[in-house]
Amino acid sequence: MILHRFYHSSISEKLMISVVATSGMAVLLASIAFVGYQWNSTRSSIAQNLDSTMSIIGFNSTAAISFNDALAAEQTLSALRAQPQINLACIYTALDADRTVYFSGYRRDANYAPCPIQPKGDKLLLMSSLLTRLKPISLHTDVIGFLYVERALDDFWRSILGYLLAIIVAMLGSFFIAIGMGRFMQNFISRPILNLASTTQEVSESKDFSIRVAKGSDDEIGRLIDNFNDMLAQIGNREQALQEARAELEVRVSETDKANAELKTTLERLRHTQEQLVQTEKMASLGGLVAGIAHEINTPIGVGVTAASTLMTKTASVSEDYDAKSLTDSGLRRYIELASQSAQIILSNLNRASELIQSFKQVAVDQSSSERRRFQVKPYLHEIMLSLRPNLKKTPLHVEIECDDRLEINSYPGALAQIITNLVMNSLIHAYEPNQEGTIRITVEQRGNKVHLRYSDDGKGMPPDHVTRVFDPFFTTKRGTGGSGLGMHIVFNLVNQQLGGTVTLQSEVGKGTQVDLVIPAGEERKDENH
Amino acid sequence: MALRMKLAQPTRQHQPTRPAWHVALFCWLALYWPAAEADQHNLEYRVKAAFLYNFTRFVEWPPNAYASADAPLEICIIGNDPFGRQLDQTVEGKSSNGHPLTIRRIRQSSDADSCKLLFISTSEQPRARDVIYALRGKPVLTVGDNSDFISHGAIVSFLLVDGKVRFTINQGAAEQARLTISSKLLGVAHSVVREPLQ
Repeated sequence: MILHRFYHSSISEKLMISVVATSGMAVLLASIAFVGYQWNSTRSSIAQNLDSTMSIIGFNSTAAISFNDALAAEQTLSALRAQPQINLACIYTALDADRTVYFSGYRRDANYAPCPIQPKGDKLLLMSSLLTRLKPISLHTDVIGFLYVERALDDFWRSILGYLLAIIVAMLGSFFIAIGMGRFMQNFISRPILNLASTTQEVSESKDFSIRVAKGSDDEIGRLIDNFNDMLAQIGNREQALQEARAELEVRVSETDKANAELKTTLERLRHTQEQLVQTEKMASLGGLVAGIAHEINTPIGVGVTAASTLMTKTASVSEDYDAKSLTDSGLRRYIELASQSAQIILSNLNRASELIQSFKQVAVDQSSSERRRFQVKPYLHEIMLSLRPNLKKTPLHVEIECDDRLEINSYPGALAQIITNLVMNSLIHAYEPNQEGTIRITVEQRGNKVHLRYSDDGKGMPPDHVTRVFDPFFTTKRGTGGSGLGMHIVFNLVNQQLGGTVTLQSEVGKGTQVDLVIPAGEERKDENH
Repeated sequence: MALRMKLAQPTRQHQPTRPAWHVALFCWLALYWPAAEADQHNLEYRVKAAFLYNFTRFVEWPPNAYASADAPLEICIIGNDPFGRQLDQTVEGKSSNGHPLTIRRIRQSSDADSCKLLFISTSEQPRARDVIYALRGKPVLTVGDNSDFISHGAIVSFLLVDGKVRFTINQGAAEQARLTISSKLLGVAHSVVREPLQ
């Protein structure tokens, strides 16, 4: 409890308590030692004085005892009146070793008890108020009697009491001096510490690290204050460095933000450019398509023109013969046969051209629009192949399409056409050497509400690093020779975004390339769109 | 009777060594018993015997008084011996400063040369003066049996005061005999006179 209170008291209180307790203990211990010493020395000096007095009395009583003169003994004893502490003195003659007989006595006054029958002396002087001593009286070598004395100890107790009073006065004095010393010591110990403590609080509240504690003395507290000031200086420096670093960081962050914004703009521009490129590519493929269409239609039209011009020439010849009346019957017959044959040829070729235009029209419309509609897959694939015939015709490649005739999906045929066109064109450009024979196979099957379309060729394939980058925009191995690097990227985007499906590509050098498309059959989405 | 009481019985009423009735019986016997007078005589000489022994302890003889360091201290009795065996018993086995105490009974003063203490019996009273003067200047403590010996020049003379045995000392005679008498002995003496022998 006391320790607990001491633990929570302030330094100045602790200091005060320490000084007071130390001085109090020192004075107390010194006083105990002093009183003990005085006790002992006073006791022994009293005993010694009494012993010498008793020796003299005994010595002076020898003749009186020897010659049985009690009166003389009494006179000798009456000399003790000069010693006011001695109350009673008695002389006993020694009959033999054990027995004593009263011989003579002295009493200070009648208030004191008379001589005892059998005297007994104290061995020790402790707390009693009376010191009694018994001393043999010797003559030469014989013990002829005993002297018994009772001595009052009030002087002894008075002196002890005096010492105790002096000690109390000394303790009070030392207590006040200790308090004064404690107050004085506070100037050197607790005040600097309290000063340090208040400065610490001030620093922690104001965050001002330029504050310094005034140093009072060159002792441990002085060193503590020095160290504290050093610490403050270091903290101040670090704080400043931190501020600078923070400012620098802010500048950097703003620079980074600016760079990021620029980067974003650039990226935006890039994406825009990419979209433009994709659009351009689409247009280019559309242009290719138009060229293909023109080429394809040229043949039947040309045949028709030839047939019509032949018919026109024959008709002019027949008409001349008729005017000249040289038209023979067989000639007319041959002309009619020719006319009939020509009309046949013209008709069939025009029909062919019409047919072609019809199908091209569909593909072209689909490619230029992003219309979603329901269509049959197999015929549509054939139409796409038809549009690619100008490219395929120049190669010995063979295209096989495996598909259920009745398979019908609701999707974006334009996108599908673009995808197939790009895949076929890639195979043509990259997979086969000119005049290399090969087979391109397209298999389509429905699994649940998904349509799995596998496009494969048996060309030369691609190395793994090309496989991983094949869908990246602008990745091409033939940049110098017209490749834009956007074909497969367009395929990827169309499958993922427009068709809502997935596309994967597997290829190995020498083993051809295989592209798998999984796209929704679109039945469930029919209501949403149409 | 009173002497006996003084010696054996302290005046303090609470001394229990002898109960009061015992003392009373003794007093009665002393008064009325025919042998009481003889007892009183015995008691007196027992005290005197003790005194003679005690004198040797309070008196210093000159160093040349002894023939050797262990020579006996002779207590001589001249005249009728009143002590019987009392004195012999008192000094038996005692010694003074290494000198054993012995008792010798002599007839005439010429035999007293080696004596250190000469007790002159009452029977020698008529020629006491001669005896004492014959020993003048010699280190012999002369002790007279009664107060008459004071006038004869004895150094110590017994006397009875109120029934108690006391003694007087002639300091002048003692100095003549080159004896040193302790002041304590002088202190307990009944009287001290200074009358050197003429």
